[in-house]
Amino acid sequence: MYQSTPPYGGPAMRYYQGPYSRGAPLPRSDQEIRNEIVARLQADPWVNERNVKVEVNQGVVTLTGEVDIMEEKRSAGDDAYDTPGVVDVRNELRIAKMEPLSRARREPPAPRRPGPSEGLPAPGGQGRGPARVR
Amino acid sequence: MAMQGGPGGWSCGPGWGYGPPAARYYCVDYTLANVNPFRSDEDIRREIELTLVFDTWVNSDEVQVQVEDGVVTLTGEVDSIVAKRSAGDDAWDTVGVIDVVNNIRVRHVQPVEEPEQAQPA
Repeated sequence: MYQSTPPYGGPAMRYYQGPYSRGAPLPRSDQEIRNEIVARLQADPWVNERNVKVEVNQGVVTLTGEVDIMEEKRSAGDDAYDTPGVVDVRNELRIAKMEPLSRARREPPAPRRPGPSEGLPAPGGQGRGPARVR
Repeated sequence: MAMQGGPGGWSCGPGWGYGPPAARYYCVDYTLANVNPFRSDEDIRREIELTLVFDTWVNSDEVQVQVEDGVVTLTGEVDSIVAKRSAGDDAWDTVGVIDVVNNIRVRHVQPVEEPEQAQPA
């Protein structure tokens, strides 16, 4: 079942359980929602809560800031989605380590060529590889 | 489509028999090594659209997908926050995706007025 007090459910309790199955959203104040989201972020091992700024306006959560990795952005968004009373989530977190990722996509590594010491034996050689010393 | 194995050695699925239940997160290894530089944006877009078709939480006609340089942008208008979240998760779970910008609007949610910018005098 949904758990609104710590320890908050991790991935085991994520998803489709909780407020959604109950119909209308709970009437909660923005401050209350914000407090729970911040507590969830603190309890979330993926997220460094100092990187995330939470704003709640009439149940619409806005997450801003710069996080390190993709899991952090996704996980912070899920923490917001998991909080009852939330009407919409705008995940505007920026991912700091995006640049190496997009560079890897823009400039795929060149196809590897065999080095001078590998590949076919040089012409004129024995053709059986280097002589073995016994 | 849905990933079958997680990087932690757990397979993904419901219940503890497969590892942590509903471990949707850990199903994709979001590391630099897992970003496939040979995957085109068009390929990613097609896979996400197909995933949305089979996702029962989302009406795929309502969601538009754009992919640029591995960054997915979802737009459209859906009925519930669950559909929005689920579409976003489908995009996150696709291999080759770097970032997801979920701009889907939920119907019947009043758009939040932006805070007034201080006008330069």
